[in-house]
Amino acid sequence: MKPSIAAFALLCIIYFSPAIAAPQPWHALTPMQQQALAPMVPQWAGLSEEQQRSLLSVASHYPDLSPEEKQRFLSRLSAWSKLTPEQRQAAREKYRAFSQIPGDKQEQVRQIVKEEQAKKAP
Amino acid sequence: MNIEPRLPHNRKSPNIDSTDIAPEQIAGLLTRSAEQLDRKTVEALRRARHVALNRQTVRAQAFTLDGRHGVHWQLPHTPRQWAATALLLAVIAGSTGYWQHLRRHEMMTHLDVAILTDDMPLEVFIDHISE
Repeated sequence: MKPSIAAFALLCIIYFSPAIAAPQPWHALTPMQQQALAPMVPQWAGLSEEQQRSLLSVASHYPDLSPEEKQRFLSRLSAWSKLTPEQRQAAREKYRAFSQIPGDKQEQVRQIVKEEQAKKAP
Repeated sequence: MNIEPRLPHNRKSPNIDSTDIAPEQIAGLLTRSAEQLDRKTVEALRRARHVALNRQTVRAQAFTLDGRHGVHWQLPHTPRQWAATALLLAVIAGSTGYWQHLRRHEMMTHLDVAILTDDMPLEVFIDHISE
């Protein structure tokens, strides 16, 4: 039964390791991670390990983005990180609901939002 | 001790091909032969049977899946088997939980990236932004 116990212990370590890991210092990040999370430099050290892990997961997709998407990503990251977990979850639910409506309806909504933004712009 | 069946006169000899005789006939012949044994032989056979039964070891039931007569579970019997079963269930539950956690996290990350890069402004999906 010893191999089973060892396997179980390994599983527990793998499962609980994210919860017991310590926050990472900024200098420990890779150049790519630092580039993707550049707007977070001032707050980075004060973030919890969970927040850091969440941002690092998001940052791992950064190299695959187009230049325009990268620009949006960097401009929104700071505001996004300041939201409460509940606000982020609500935003995800809204985005999920929005992405499930038919394409033509989505386009209509996007057009209306652009027009509204254009009106608000000075 | 002659236990050769004594066949009726109108039957074939015992040297005939056994496939020619139906199983019921064989059983009948054996019964008739047994009835013709003398008391001493019957007693010797009874004792031999008794000794053979006493020597037979009854093995403890093992925790196995018996596939010969359809799959059916046998409950574990010893504490060791219970412990192994509990450990197996814990490993399965842990693996499932971990896999679900990874999947949830992956989905969440995917949504976060989509929100952060979509051409729709962030405010559309968030009720109140502190900044």
